[in-house]
Amino acid sequence: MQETIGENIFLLIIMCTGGISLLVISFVLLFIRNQNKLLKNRQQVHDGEMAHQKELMGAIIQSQETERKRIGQDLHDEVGGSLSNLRMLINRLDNEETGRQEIENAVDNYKKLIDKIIQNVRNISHNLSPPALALFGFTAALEELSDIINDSGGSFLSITNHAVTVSEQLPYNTAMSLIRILQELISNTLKHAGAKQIGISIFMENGLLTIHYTDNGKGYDKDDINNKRGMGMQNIESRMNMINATYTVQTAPGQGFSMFVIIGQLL
Amino acid sequence: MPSVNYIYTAVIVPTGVLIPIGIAAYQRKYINKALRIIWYYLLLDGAANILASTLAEFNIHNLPVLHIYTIIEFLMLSYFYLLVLNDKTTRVIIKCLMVLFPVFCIVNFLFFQSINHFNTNTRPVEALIVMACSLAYFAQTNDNSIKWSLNPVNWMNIGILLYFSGALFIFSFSNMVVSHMSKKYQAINILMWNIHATLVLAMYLLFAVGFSKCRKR
Repeated sequence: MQETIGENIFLLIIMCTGGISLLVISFVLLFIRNQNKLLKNRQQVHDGEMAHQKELMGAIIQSQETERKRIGQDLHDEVGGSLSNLRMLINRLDNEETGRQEIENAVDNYKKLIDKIIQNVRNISHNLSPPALALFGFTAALEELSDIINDSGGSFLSITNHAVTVSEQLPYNTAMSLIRILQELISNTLKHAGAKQIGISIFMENGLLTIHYTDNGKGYDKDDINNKRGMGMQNIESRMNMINATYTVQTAPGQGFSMFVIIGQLL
Repeated sequence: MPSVNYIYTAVIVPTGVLIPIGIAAYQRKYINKALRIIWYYLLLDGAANILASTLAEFNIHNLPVLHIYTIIEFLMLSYFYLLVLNDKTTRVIIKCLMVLFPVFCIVNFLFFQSINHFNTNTRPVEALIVMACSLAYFAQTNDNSIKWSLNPVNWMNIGILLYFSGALFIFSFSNMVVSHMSKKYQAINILMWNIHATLVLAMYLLFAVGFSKCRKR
């Protein structure tokens, strides 16, 4: 009896010890594998986000450079040219022997030229920073936008604002970003879509300020990557991120363009 | 000429404790408080082994050393887990156990088991508690943001889990196998203690790897 107990105990102990060790080792190995998988996934997500951020930054810097180039060109072509003209005319007056009538004519010309220069500078600075927004508010800035488009002919922009009080109370930065976003959208429409009608409507939905932009132009294929980069959509996306807004786009070739922007602040 | 088994269990494995101790001493600058506790635990282990061997040389019963060693081992390991575990409830439980378990051990060798026998009432309980703490730490590190193998505490944790889980049954039956031993089964008995020694060695090596991962991150 004693001997049977003895034999059983030893074997039992050794088997149990072996069993538990096997269990523990497999548990640890599985755990390690799980950890590594989790870490790899997290790393991938992180890398994807970083790449996206980098792209957005690139687009921002690119558009800054384009803007600077444009400003430089406008200043050079319009203001620089006119000032050079003015200089030459004054030179001529200085050199020639001129009578009273000629001086009066010349001064008239100079005044006109200077007025033109002032107007040019005003236009350039309006483009840089529309004063209507700071001075008169969001709605006025929108009207200025539609005036510029409608006066130039070609396309017709209609704006309906059902949420005037709320939109007037937007903080300056948000309002500015929205104006820029709309400017960008309009610019896209004019450049690429060849649309005749553009509609902007502003209303409240579920307590959030919503802007609906549509045009009846060519539309484009949403899933085509080339379209994303070329059309300043990344600039729009960056601006949306900054003001905490979300957006949805519906468009297809031949079916126009429609975008909803929802500003996610409780107003 | 002492047998291979004797050399393995009584010489090689106890000296093996010097490997992690050495590596820890070398990395001494980068060791934080929790890892230092493991270092002290290893020193305790080495000291206890030396003491037990010396007593055995002089034919003095050395099992009382095991009883005292169990208490100190438990206090050190539970303090280690107190330092690395974050959950509030768990920490409260561990603190309670740090008081209750030594009392249980003392009561055990005063009234229940003779101090000259293996403490089979208390050592398995200690093993189970330590295993639970180890699993709690696994649960805690389940969602970490750094690579798993770079965290030295992970390695310590595995070593502890492996040793205590493997030796659980050996602890439980250690009295019985001694008293029921006949010449026939001596080989299996020796095998059993060899397995125990191997588990101890595995624990030392895992600790050594853990200490070696201690570079400045």
